[in-house]
Amino acid sequence: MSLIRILHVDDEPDIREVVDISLALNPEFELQACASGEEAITAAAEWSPILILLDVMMPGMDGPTTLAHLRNNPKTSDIPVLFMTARAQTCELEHFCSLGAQGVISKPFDPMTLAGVVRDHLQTLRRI
Amino acid sequence: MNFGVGNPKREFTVESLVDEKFRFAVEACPSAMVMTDNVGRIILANTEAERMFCYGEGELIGEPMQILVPEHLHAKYMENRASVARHRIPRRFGPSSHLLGRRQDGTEFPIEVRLNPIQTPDGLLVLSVIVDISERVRTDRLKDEFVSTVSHELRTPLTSIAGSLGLLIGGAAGKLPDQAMRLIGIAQSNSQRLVRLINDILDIEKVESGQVIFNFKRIETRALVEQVIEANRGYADGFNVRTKLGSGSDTAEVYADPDRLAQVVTNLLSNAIKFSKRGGEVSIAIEKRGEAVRIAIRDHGPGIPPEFRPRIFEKFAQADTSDARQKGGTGLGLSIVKQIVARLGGEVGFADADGGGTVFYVDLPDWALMANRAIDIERDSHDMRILLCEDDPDAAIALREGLRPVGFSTDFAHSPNEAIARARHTSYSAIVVDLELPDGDGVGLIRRLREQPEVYRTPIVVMSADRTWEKSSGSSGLVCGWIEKPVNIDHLAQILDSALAREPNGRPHILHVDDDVDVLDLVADILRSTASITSAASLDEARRALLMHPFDLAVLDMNVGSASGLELLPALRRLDGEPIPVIIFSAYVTNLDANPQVEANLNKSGASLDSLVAAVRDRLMLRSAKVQVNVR
Repeated sequence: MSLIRILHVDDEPDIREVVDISLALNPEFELQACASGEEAITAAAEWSPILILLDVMMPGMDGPTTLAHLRNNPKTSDIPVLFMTARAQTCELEHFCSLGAQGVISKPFDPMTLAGVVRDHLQTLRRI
Repeated sequence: MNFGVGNPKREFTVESLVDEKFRFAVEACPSAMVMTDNVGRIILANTEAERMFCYGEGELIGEPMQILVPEHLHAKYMENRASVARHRIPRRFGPSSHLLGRRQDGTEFPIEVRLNPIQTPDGLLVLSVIVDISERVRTDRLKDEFVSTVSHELRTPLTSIAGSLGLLIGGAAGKLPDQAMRLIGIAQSNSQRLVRLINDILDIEKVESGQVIFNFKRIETRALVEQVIEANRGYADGFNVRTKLGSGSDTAEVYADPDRLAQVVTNLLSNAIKFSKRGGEVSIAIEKRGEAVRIAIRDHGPGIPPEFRPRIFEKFAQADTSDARQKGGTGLGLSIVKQIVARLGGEVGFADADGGGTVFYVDLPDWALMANRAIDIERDSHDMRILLCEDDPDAAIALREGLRPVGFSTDFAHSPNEAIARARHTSYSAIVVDLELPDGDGVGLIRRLREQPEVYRTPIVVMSADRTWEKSSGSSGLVCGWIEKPVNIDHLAQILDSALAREPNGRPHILHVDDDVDVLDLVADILRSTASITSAASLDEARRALLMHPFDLAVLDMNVGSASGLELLPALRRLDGEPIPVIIFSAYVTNLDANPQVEANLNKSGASLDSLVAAVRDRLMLRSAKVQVNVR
């Protein structure tokens, strides 16, 4: 059985590590982490993940800009994106979804259930 | 000092207003003050106004007020001014109006304006008090940036800390000794407390600064409370506390924002759970009390110490800090609850419960009573009163609340018969009709309204998702505005303002139809001092304008694009059916003397612009003479 590829994008190395360990709790997942939007655009096109977890506030290219680039490239335009951000109001959630994201995971997240939350999203999106 | 503003019994002359004492008072004011005459020319400006807009002493006198307004806001300024003139009450245009001033060098800056109408025998003067809010806007932006940055900078390390601790406790790094687990547990619960604190601080900041948008809806209270109880079940289990929702078959519906109401109930419920004894019970009850629906949450805890009661809703208020630390509270929860409930139009309170413990309650307006309140009882006496014929109570209430801040009070009619009855007994400034009424069509209602002698002059605005009726013949004389659904409140207010803009003896309004844009501009320039001009470059544009304004005169080109200007003649009627007099101004000579509506026939090549102006003045003089005769 092939592994489910998840691309995680966050400029904070500590958060990358926590997400790495959290998602590794589900052995079906294979994770690649990127430290910036620019890195993510290249990695997404080359590695073809099934889902991208994207931080919103990053120095340089922020999450929404990265998403716009991903959507403009035919190789990455169909990959679902979940934003990872601070607790958002309903109208902010709607704003993120209007940008083309499929959902939002609040920060701080529960590391023990993160893999389950990601799996639920993939099932809802019928990607697994 | 009272200048008699808003007091119709006192009248002032221009001379008395610009006398020495008045000038002294205006000069001493720390804000910029500018007074304009009845045509919008500046007749008085204090030194602060000259300084703010970078003009020299006396340079502003005689200039049009628009000189101080950026060109892209001229239309908005005219609307605001017209609205003040019509309502005859002072109006403030605060930061949310996003008004800008224009300095002499063309630079723009944010302003807050208060327009005060002053009635004089020489017409209506307007005193504008202007405050430069550049600094306030800059400070607000800095504060927003600070809050957003602090929030991000605090959350980022917390995400790593809470995440790492969660993984350790969850056993992701293997089994830990008991003592290590206890210590990590302390660290984790405190990191969670910090997260709550940051969330609460951001929440309260957002509610206080009005950044939280409230989406009011009709809510079934019981279903919402059940969801909140379910979402907090894990939390209650952690304290070994049972939660119980009292039975009740009545539907209790409220009018509120579901997310925010859920936040209120969550805060009160988690407080009740936190302060209950282990193995205790928290009971929730929903009941109708007069015009309100009450959600009551009762604990069996130790009760609230008397000395703490007066401060309980204050920020960071906690009965006993050591106790609060033990309970993991932030001291902001009840303060947030109070602020949100106030914005929801309700009340929050608490009382000792019979048999020990405390009951906290939230009273919110009952939906059914809100919806049935057809007559707007919160009407301000200065508001323009309109009738809204709309069968959907949700939509009707949303429009009433939306129109209130812009100076309209709205009564409802949920059926055509109700609409006719109300319109006959109350003198409304305008009537708004939903075209898709279920029991009897909206078109029929409009025709019936127009047949009532009390209503036939009242402007009617139509709301519809479908514009086909507008294009059908005969409708243009019946309605004076059209708005598409879903309704944009600003747009509706603008249409209502335009519909009400013309006062009986006010400035005349001329429609000029010509496909040559240069001619339109030229004529608009030359006639501007005589009348308000609406220019239309096509027959369609002219028809749209006819729906919006009651014109006094039309200047018509014979060849408009590929169409003949004559096609427009049947449509050139006012709402009351009276034909609008027409001056033909065309390159083509046509014999139209037989048509009684055509009052002059000028040839563009033969007649100069001066003769057009003379013809227009001549017609308007006749009109004003007629008005005076009618008045006598």
